[in-house]
Amino acid sequence: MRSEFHLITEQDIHAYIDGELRGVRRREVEKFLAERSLPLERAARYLRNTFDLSSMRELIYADRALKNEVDRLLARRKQRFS
Amino acid sequence: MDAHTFTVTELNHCLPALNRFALTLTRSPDRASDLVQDCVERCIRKQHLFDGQNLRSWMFTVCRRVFLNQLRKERSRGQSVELEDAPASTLSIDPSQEETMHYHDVVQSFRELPLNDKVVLSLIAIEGLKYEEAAELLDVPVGTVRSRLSRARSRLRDMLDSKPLDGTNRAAPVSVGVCAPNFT
Repeated sequence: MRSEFHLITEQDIHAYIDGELRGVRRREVEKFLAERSLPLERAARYLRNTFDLSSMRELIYADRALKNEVDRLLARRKQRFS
Repeated sequence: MDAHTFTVTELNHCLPALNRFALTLTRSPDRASDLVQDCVERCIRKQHLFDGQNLRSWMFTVCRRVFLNQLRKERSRGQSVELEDAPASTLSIDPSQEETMHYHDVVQSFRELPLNDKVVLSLIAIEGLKYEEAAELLDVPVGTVRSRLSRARSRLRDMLDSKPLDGTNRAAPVSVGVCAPNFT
């Protein structure tokens, strides 16, 4: 039986967390994480931190320099779609 | 294993890893136990959706979805308030004192990140943009968004690991490996 080796990078883990992966690649990353405790624990922490940031949106955006920059970028998106 | 079926033995075999996963997500033994219970119940109810390939992988996916659904529900029931002024009961995610400290740590650590890290994390984690959308707004290739995001999350994790708990030195964080470019 041929054994295929697919390199899973840290960036793949982030892409998985952020819902960027589909199909075969997503299943490969899930399988990779399911079989390895340490990367799985790290992925879970990133997932948790991502949700924490989303939950703390107003506190995060109390940083006016950041909020202004994000607003400026999002305004560019609106301009492109309008 | 037949497609769409699994045995209780196979399911039990997955539980230790599922418990660890749930504990990392919830950071509370009680909540982790509840999450695993919900997850197992859902897996049994929905076993017709299992593709027969990798039970553990499927259970982690179910666990992740159950956890996120729980947090979303809790958040939608809560109110957005300043942590410093809020009575614990009004915070959006059922905070014990440790939980509240954790949110302080997350916000504080995030504030200490370089602006570029904060921007990319905000666009992806808070605004929910796809990588391609973020790349377009930032005028950089998608690969740059990926690398910036990876770096930003690693820095945030390192900062959180270095935070003392309750003003005292926290036990050394569990090392999950050197932050190498690849897991393999």
